[in-house]
Amino acid sequence: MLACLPRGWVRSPPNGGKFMYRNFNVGTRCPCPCVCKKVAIGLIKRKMSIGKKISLLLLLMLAAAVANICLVFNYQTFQLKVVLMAMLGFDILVFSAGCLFGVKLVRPIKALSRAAAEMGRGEFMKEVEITSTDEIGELCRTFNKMVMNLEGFRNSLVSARDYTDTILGSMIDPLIVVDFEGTIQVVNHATLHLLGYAKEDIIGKPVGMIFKLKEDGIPKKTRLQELTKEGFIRDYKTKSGEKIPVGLYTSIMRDRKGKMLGYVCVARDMRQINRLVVDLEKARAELEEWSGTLEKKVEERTKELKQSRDYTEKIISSLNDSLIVLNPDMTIRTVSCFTLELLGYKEDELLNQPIHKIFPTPGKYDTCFDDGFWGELAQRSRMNNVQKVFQTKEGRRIPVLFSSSVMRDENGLALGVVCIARDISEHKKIMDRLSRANEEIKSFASIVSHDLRSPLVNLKGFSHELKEALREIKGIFEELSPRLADGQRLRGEELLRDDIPEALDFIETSTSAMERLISHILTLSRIGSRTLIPVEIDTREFVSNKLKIFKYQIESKNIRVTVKELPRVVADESALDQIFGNILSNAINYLAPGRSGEIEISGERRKGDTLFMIKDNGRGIAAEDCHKVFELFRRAGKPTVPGEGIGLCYVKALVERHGGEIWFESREGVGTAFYFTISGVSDGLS
Amino acid sequence: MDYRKSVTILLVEDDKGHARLIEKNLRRAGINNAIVHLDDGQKAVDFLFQKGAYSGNVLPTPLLVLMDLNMPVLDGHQVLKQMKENQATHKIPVIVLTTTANASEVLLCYELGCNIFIKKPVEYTDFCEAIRKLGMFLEIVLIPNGD
Repeated sequence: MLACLPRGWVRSPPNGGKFMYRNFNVGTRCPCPCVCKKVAIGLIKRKMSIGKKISLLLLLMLAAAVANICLVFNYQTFQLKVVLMAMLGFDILVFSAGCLFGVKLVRPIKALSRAAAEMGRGEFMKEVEITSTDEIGELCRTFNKMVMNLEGFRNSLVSARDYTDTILGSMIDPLIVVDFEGTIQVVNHATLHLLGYAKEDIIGKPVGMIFKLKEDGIPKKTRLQELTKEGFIRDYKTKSGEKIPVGLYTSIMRDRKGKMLGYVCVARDMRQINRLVVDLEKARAELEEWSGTLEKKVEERTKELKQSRDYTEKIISSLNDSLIVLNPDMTIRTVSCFTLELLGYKEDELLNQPIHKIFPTPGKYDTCFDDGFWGELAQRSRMNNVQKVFQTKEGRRIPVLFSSSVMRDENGLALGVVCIARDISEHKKIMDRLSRANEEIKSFASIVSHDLRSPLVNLKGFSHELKEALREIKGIFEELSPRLADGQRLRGEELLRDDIPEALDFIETSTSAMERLISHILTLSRIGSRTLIPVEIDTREFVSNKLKIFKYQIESKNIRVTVKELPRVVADESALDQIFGNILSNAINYLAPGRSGEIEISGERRKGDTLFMIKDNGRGIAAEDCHKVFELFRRAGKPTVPGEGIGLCYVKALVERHGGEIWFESREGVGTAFYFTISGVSDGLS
Repeated sequence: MDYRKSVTILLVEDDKGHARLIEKNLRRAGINNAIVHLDDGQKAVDFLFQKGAYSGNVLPTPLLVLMDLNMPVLDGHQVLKQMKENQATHKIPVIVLTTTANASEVLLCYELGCNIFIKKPVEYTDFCEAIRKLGMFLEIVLIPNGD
């Protein structure tokens, strides 16, 4: 065993890329140890499997031992020879054991080297069988682990590459990668498509086949650097020789440590862009032309608009009514000068303020302001002449006639509300005065009729008393007269018979006339307050009944009366009776002398009212008398017929109570036509 | 002396002519009672309540008031109201005799407590007739005694 002691560790040649150990020994008794050593080293250096090397080394050891024994065997004693033989036997035993051990040791190493070879080919699926728990077993386990890691690493690398390939493949812009030598390394599908080459036609070829670099003579590296200039426009040459202008965007590719690896060039097909540029240029030119005319047009339009705006503003500022434009949220948007003047506000005090600001605070005058009204204002497209009250800045109240309409755009969306308000303070004052005056007239009429009647009672009463006294005096005078002188008697008789009765008669007729006038005034003043009862009247029948009353006069004066179509009408029957009665009686009474009378009665229904006409061929009314026709106590023309001039005044009041109008057309000596309309029954003068 | 003959008639009428005509016609109708004429409402009130010019006077009883409505100072309504509100005078019968007699006026007077409302006709014959009938009416009317 001593001969087999290991002498040291030797590193195996790096051919297999793995560590291993060998032991070998050189017998101390070897007569030529140097030869053995050399043979052993030569053996180890030889290119052969470890198993073989171990076997050969053992053989060498055995041979050296045998040679040693043979060399010493001749001069040794028998005992020594026995010892030597025993040593030889032991050596053989050691050899056999070494052979066995070598085989056991070498198998896993072989398996390892096979697996490594397979891994080198890229097959990572093989796993080395672990047969022992010693260092070799540990080595195998580590190896398997490394294989697993390597496989994972490779897979991630592969998927990363696939991902990059996918990106490159789906890029729209052509991409090429060029190394420093100007050799094309990578192209994407877009490049191939653009140029018409197959991948293998182009990979590894100089970049010059695609586009021209700068003049020769300049070092290639400098020429290539030219590429990195941003937006470098070049022509790509296709396989068919066509030139395609491209915008080339190049960047230098570096590894992680910053080492330059090559150029990445992304090209953009400029043809489309060029076309666009051309179109754009055209469009620009057109636009310029347009903008010229447009500018002119805009200028004109602006001028027009300004004029129209000025015009509108002038209209608004010269409006004598208050104009307020509201936003849909009921805040003030526009307000006219007149409004500001009226209310005493400055424009900025009202703009964007709620409209409530110019109305009196609610509560005190509830009718002036209520939310319902505002709701209505926004919803109803129009509101006409509603009486409202504005409140000025100082708190003064101004009655206004308020109208509004909702302003809409072409889609019907409400833009706001336009409000017009007319100051009716004066109007209202006048109206108040008028209604007061009207009341006064009414009470005046009744006072007059009473106060004028009181003296009448006296006049009548005392004149009557005087008559009685006169009668008595007459009797007394007759008794006394024979005793009187002739002159006295005659004078007394004259007084009692003529003068006093004459005076009393005048007093009586005058008081009677006055009494009639007073009662007419009273009647007239009562027309306004009398309640009219509207009923539907068959006017044809009504008129024919009315004519029966005048039958005697019509027949005796030989008047021809024509009644044409007469529509039914709703009116107060007694009022209508008085209207027709008065006009007919005028027609009958004022005939033209020497001409047989003709009266025509007709009527027609019009929009909103009914028109009646009573036409005669009478004496007519002189132009200068026309204004007197409807006046109280005035009579036109010669008073050939008794009357106080009250009829037509009365008729006019009745027609007006029926919401109608009355007028006439007349020519002196030709005839008169009276027209009147009836449209409804009003509540009264108020 | 006949009880009716003792009744004093207080005639309140601002129009002296009317008063005279009324008086004349009453006399013609046979009314011979004493007639006191006053020409405005204030005087009537003073007379009835012994105030002013009439303080210290003794109110004649029994009394009947014949009164117009339209009068200066105090009108007939006011006099009527004061009379009917006062315990001392509310039993005195009041005859209203006036020219205007619309429905609301008549109603108001009766509401105030007037006993008779007569319209003064403007036509004198009618006037005379009305007063004559009133006289005849007064002949038979019973009046509460002031006591």
